[in-house]
This record gives sequence, structure tokens and C-alpha cells, in this order.
Amino acid sequence: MRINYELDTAIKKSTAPLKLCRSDKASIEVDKDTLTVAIKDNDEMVGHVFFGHGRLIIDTIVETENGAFGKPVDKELNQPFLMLGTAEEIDKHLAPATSDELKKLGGDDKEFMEKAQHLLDMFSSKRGQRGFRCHHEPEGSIFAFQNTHSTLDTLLLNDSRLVYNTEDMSFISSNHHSILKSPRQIVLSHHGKSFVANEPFTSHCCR
Amino acid sequence: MSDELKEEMKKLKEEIASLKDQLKGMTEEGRPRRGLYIDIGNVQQYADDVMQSVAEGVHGELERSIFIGPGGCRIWRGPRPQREEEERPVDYGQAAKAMSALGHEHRLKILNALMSGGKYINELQEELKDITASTLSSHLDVLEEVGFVVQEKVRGRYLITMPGRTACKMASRIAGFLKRGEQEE
Repeated sequence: MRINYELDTAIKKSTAPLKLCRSDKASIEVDKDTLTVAIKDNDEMVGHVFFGHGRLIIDTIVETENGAFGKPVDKELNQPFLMLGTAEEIDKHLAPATSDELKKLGGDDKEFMEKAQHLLDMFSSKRGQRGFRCHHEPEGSIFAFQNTHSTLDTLLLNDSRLVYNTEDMSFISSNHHSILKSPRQIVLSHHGKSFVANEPFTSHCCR
Repeated sequence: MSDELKEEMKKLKEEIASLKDQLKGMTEEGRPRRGLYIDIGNVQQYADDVMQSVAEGVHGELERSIFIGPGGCRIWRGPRPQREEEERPVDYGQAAKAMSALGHEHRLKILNALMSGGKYINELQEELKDITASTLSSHLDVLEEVGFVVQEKVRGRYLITMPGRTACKMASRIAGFLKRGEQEE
């Protein structure tokens, strides 16, 4: 069936702080009273757009025998972001948001829906270009965050893998290997062996 | 004399003539050369192979036993290429800050404890019993600030970085040199 992401019409708010993901390397949490609207694919709920305050932490660090490379990402989330994935736990802590509450949070329903739609359009466009296919993976999640370059940073997560991609860095981590690519360095680690390439890409291998 | 003997004499004369010709070719203006004559056709290639092997061995040994800088460790067989990075002036302020972070016995012990792998703070406390919990935490902050240590934000483990390993090995080597110097005195 063709993917057709659409926003629900009901705007809700979180009644408690929510942990949207928690793994060994990543954590995303949003505060109480964060606004959210559901994303549907052919009438099936597949995710949410969130608008409020939260925190994104990703340990984009690669361990090698010559030391650790990289630093953790620790960002305040105060722009709308999108999540596709398991939402049962989230739904338990959502309640309809009134227009007064929307005003108190700095906008109205129309404004919020426009921002949410813009984000969904950006994501759908990117998804179309890159061919993301894991939107229905039951144990996995995809997050998309707007950045200052007006593009999207993406985070793909499941039980064994994490992929984080931004304008200037990429990080991939699975059970036995990690890859970190920044503008000045590429670090690969696989089963205890590692490879480091520095700009202008001279390199050394470690045992 | 029989014909057989005549034939034998003829062969011997031919052989002597042949030997004289060979001897003449090996002399210069009639004088015999001195020294040992060896075919050196493959020696240059052999020497190159040996040098390559030695260079690789030394490189490997350095990687195993001495520290490797942030840019890696290399042995160049030809003229060393100039790199833009190497031409930058040394930031002595930053270097002094890093040296200052190393200037405490406890911090050196912490770095050494992390050389074997990432550790949680309680594991470090268990290993470094002579350092109190609050002191350990403040030392880790200092090491993290200069980039010798990085802390995972999700799990909370402390990991030693490449500069941290380099600093720890450097401190060990300096201590080793000083101890050797004392013994010699």
C-alpha cells in the first residue's frame, strides 16, 4: 500500500513527562504539557509530531584501543520534531489540549498545525529521496528534528542499531561496530579493531 | 706414441688456451684484479625489502609500546611531506592547561585506571580507594574539561580519549626516565 502520511486533527498535550526512547546510547524526553498531534498512514496511527520542551541525548562516541573519539550530543528540544514508531505508552499520557492551553504555550491550533504540517512535508520529501522503509518496524523508531540549516537531523533506532545523521556528522552504532564521521575525521570500530582517518585523510590502523 | 696420447695432448693444449683466454678477460692491462666478485643484480631490491620490513616493524612496535599522537604515528622513508596542520604554531596556553590537569597524582591514577576501558564512577571508586567520592568527581571534571576523558551522557561511563591515553603514557615514561636517572646517580 502506498505510504500516505497525514496529520490527525486533534491536538493533545502530555499529562506527564514522556520518555520517547531510552537505549544504551540515546535518550529523548519531553516535558509535561508538550503539545502533540498524531501522524496517520491510511488511518493507522504511526507516530506523532511534538511541540514543546524536551531533551535529546545521544552518545556519539566510538571506543577504540587508542581511546574514545567523539562527544555526546546534548540538545534542548524547543522546535517541533517528529517521531514515527511505537506509541502505545505515549497515548496513555495524552489528553486533549484546549485553546486556552494552546495560547498559554505560545500559539493557536492553526499555527501549530501549520508548523507540524511543514515538518511532515519536509520529512516526507526526505523520505522520498532517501527511501526510508522502516516506518512500520514495530520495535524501531524514527525521529526527525529541524536544525538551524532548515534541514532535518534524523535518528533511527531499534534494539540493536542507532543511526544519527546531521548536516555535519553521521554516527552509526550496532552491537559490534561503530562509525563516526565528522568534517575532520572518520572513525571506524569493528570487533575491537579500529581505523581513524584525519582530514586530509591520512590514516592509521589499530590492532 | 700412440694416436690416443696425441689426441689427449691436443685436448689439454686446447684447454690451457681456453683458460688463458678467460684469465686475460679477468685482468686489467694484464694485472689480475683483487677482491671478491659477487653478482649484485638483486642486492638493491633486497636492501629495499629489508628497509621496508624494518620500517614496518618499528612502526608496529611504536604503535604497541609508545604513544600515538592525535594525527597518528608514521615513519617516512622519503622526505617528509609538509602538512598544513604541522605548520600551525603550538598553543602553549592550551598545552599548559593540559599539563596542569595532569599535575595531580590522583588524576594520573584516574587516567591509568581508565586505560583498561570505560568505567562507571562507582567502579573507579572501588579501584581508587584512596580518593574520596567528591574529590574523584571534581578530578573527573578537570580531566573532562581538557579533553582527556569523556563521559557518556546516557549510561554515565567515563572513557579515556586519545589525548588522555597519550598523556597517561607520557607521564609513565617521564616517571620511568626519572627513576632510571636516580638509580644511575
